[in-house]
Amino acid sequence: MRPIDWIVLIGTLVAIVAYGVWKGRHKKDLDGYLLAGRQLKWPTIALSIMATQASAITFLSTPGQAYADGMRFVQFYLGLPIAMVILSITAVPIYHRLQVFTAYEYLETRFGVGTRTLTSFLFLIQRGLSTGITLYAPALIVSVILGWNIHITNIVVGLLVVTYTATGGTKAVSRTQVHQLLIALGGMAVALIIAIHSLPHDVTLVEAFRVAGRMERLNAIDFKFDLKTQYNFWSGLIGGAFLALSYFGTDQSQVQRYLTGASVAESRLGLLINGMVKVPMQFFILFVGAMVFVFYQFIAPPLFFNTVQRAKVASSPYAADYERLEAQHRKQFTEKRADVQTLLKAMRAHDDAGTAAATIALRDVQQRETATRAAAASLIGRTQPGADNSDTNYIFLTFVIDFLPAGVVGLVLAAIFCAAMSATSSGLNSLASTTVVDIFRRLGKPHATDSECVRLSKLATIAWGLFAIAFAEFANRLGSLIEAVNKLGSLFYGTILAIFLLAFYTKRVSGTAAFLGALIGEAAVVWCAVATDMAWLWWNVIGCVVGVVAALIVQRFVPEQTGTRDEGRGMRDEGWRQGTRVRPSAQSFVPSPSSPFSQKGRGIGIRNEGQA
Amino acid sequence: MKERVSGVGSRLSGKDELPTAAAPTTDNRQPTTQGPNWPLLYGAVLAELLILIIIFYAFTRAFA
Repeated sequence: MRPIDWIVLIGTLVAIVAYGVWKGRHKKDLDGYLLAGRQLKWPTIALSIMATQASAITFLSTPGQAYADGMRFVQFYLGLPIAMVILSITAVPIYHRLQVFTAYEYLETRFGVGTRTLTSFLFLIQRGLSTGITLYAPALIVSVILGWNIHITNIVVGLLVVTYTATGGTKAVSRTQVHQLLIALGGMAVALIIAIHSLPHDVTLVEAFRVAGRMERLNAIDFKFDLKTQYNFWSGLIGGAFLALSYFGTDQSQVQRYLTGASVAESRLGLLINGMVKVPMQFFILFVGAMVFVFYQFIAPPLFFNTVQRAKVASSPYAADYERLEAQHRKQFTEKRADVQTLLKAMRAHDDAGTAAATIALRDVQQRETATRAAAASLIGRTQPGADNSDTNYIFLTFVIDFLPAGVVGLVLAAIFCAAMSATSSGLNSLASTTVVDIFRRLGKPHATDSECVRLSKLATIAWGLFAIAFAEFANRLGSLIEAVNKLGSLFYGTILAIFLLAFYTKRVSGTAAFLGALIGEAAVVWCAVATDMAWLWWNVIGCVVGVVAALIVQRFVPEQTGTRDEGRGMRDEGWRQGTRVRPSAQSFVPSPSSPFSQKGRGIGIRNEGQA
Repeated sequence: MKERVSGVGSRLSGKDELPTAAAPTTDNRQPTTQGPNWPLLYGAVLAELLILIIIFYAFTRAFA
């Protein structure tokens, strides 16, 4: 990196951290610390929601996905807008009315403390691990590209995030996320412009699109239904909707973003804007990867993009084999570049037969090149058993470092670090909230004062930050990071969603039945993950459907006990007496025939129309 | 001076103000203003999704 890159990178990060500390400098009560005093407007909420989901992994791994597999990954997000609408109608009014700090707090009013604790623990495990992966991503960048020590990088980035997250709380997190997301998207836009500008001067933008399309890199939509295909229209629309419902509706890292809304309307608008912007944003990021792919049709790419693994194999007994593969790869690149030129000439001459023939030749050499890259990855795997033999995460960065001009490299790196910090800060913030509100104050010290809880929230943020840093040390064995994070979440999201759906929409299911249903649903997900080759997006559907159906069946064999209303009231009375946050008005959210949450009732959306 | 206990009680000044099932809540107490037309907004989000799917499909087909 050149001095100007360092100035841009360090200047941006210092400014962001200082801004976060400054924004969160005022003394707060627990409401102010964990929910920014519930005063935020929809633009901040929308950007905060997007920044929470769009970590450095999004900006690193997604372009690599497009390079290696085309743009089909965009289908993963197709269910998201549907989920935003459903959550705006159902979850947002409930959470706002109950004035909860966490999503799991609501579950106690419906199913009792056991279910609340189970979902809180599932969240803490899943979010704690994925925050570690989120932190690991930028450390990966500098360790591979700049040769920095990955352990030190993890610690430095982790401490920077902890500094403003612990001192400023949610307000600092949300305010900084606005700027972080804008910087991240700005960096990607600059990278896209330069990638297109770096193409040979005789290649127009439309021709670049055609080359990418002919080489199956603009395959955004695939309507073929196949349970084993990771990304197609149906898995994205159905599985993606379930995943988004669970992630945005029950994952505290997201719920906390829109709980900060000044009203139901502000929170709803934040979610709906996310629903409108997210899909085009992911398309844009994937498109950057597709253009990087086109760029590398004219400039020879390395056989394997991870320079560290490349160096290791070069000094291993397999060095000669790797050199042979590199020579083969160079030959294939030369052949491919000639085929691309042939294709361009045929297209310019409107020669359909020539275009078809060139396309077949191009796809053939592309397949051989892919096989050569797979052989190299396999060789690396044999050289270092357990090492990361996927280079998807390194593709975009290699392009940035090798071909972007001075200053822009620093900007893109700052963008990636900003994205990592924004997602990590939300994760730590939500982990601290759940630890304090759902575990410490519910199970440990119900009479804790606000100042005690704020102090403990700060300590919990620091503790979870240290946990994330520790876990980040192991994240380099997880392959494509963007898939790793979502796969990890999909192990739990379906089950958690099942519990929330039972709470929102059923009247008679007791806490015991919901708890057992959740365990059965989770067992089904684990079985699918271990014993079948079902695409992981479907795990969300399986966990949710099995969880709900199992709870309904179990309920038939469970004695009526005291009924959910009485159960809820008893707990609430106790909670009220103990000074916990469970609000008496929660009683109105046990569905009843006259309740807006009953299927017979009017929709919540209609009911709340014009409230804000 | 004793610190206030965190929780719902901390945000309410007295028992008389406890919300009940029928009582107005935080949002209900807000000034009545002309809010967004929610069904229209939900429709707009879903319509945009449909348009994006059509565009993406056309994009896929156009350059395949």
